[in-house]
Amino acid sequence: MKGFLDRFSKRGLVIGQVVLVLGLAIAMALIPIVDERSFNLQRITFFLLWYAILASAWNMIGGYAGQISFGHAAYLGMGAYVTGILWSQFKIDPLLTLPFAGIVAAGYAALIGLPTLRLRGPFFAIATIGVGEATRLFFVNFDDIFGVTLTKGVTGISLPTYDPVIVHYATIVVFVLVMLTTMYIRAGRFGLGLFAINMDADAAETAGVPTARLQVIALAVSAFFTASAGSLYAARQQFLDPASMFGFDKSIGTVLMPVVGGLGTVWGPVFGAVLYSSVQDRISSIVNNPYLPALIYGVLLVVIVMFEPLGVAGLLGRGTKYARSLIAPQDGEP
Amino acid sequence: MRLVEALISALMVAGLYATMSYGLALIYGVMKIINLANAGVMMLSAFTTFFLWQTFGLDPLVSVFLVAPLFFFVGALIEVLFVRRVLNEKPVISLLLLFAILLVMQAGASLFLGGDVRSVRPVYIQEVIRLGDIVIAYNRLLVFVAGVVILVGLETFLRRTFLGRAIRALAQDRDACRLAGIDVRRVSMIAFGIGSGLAGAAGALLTAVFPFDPVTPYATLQLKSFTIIVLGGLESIPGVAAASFVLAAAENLTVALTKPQLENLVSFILLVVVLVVMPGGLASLIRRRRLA
Repeated sequence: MKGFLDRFSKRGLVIGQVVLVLGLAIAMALIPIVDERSFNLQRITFFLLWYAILASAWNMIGGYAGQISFGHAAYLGMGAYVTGILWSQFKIDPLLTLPFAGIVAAGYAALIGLPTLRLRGPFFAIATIGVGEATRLFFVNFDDIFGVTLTKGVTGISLPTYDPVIVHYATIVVFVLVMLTTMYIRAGRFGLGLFAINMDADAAETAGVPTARLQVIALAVSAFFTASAGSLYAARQQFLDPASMFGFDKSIGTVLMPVVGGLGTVWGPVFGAVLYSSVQDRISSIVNNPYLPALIYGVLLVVIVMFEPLGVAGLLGRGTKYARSLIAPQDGEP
Repeated sequence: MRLVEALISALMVAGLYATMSYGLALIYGVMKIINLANAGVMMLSAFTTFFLWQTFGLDPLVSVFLVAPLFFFVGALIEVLFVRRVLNEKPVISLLLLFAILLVMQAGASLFLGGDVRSVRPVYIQEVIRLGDIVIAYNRLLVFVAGVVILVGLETFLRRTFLGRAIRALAQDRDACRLAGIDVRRVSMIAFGIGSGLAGAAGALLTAVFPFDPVTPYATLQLKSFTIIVLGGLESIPGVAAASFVLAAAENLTVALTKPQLENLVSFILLVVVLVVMPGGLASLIRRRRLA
């Protein structure tokens, strides 16, 4: 009887979360319809969802499998550049190039993951520091290496304008997809496998979990969504350059949001993204010193890691049992 | 001739690389964590050296002896306040914690000291030594000698003294050390302190050769030291020294033969190649030879 109830309430939880995601999506889809001139609100919504996509995508490998990536800007920039180049040079609709950009980044991620995720320990994390930097250098020197004019080096590329309302809807669709994917992984065998790896990779391997394969797949999926965020950015903004798209601050942001929100939880990265995007928005209008926010983020990260590794989700989860079951993992801690 | 010069120049830089990497290797050996704050300590130490030079005119090679003990205490403090508390958590936690500490160090330094590029220019910076056709920069030679002295001193300490042996024992088996009555917490703290002290020494030496700013040392130097300890087999001084030379030589040859911008790609490509071809590093290669 208890087992039945558990299963029932678990299914109810999953359905509840899906309804929540769809409800959020519909509410945001209504924004341009209700007020056609709500450009500022649309911009805020875009970046909110954009950060949420980045944070949830990072969480799939960093939170679930516990493999910290300090180089996710590589996939972000790659997605942005694939779309940007196809859009500006070959006039292909940026939203059509989005899946292609995602697949390119996923392939690249698998190539990086295959050697580095096979090994125990922090090899992956450290290698990713190089991934970001090496990819940036590659894109800066791309034209020289291949003797073409595509990325235009450090100067960056200018893009034609594209209808921001269509991008708004596309962003909502990608957000729904990333949330459904992250919930699907969380609830199924795949997610269990990743959690097992996170807790004890050797024990997981012994118990028959294909640790290397699961992690590489998780990284590829994560890179796919990160690159789609890059594509969306290229479709909405009219300018791309290596310093901003591949910048280390982008990588730091993608680490920060899920950790602050709640590592390895479904909704934590979304909380983190809400906090981060609102702080970014405020800070850039109040102070123009970029180091002050970095200092605050650093201190915040120390405090969270030391006292509440589950972040905002962990704090909320302390409140009620229901909230805990909604936010914190159902089967085993992450 | 250019080849010989590039190799000699690589050897000179290798002294610095080995000093900065060995701190990372020592801490990894004893505590099984990667000290991401290593590059942050180097940067703070470089600033300290810069201010010592600016205010008192102290030569970086003299500052080493002041800065290294200072950062020994800084490291020990970081261990007591932060690292010790998360040692029993999953590895993710310590990695994130040390990353956060690095972030605080970098942002703090940029905020309070400014983000400009600085360089220490001692009187001998232009001097060179000529051996026939080969030209060696005097400051690089001094830095190399200082690095060798530091590493030989450390190796002696680790082999001859009780504390040094305790540190090496801890790297082998933590639980056995506890059973043997070694104060594991204290020795860990000292090991973390020595690791940071080495990073401090490397930061001081760095100023005599390269210009620096609060942020740049991070990605490149951290990655270089990690490549070196992976290549060097994570726990041995000769391995680290050999790997430092391999990396420095690969970098110098890349710069000499292709474009200078690609220098920082070398360490990353080398890291990936090593992880694929020989995850045990150079040491495993030597060991395999010995068995065969």
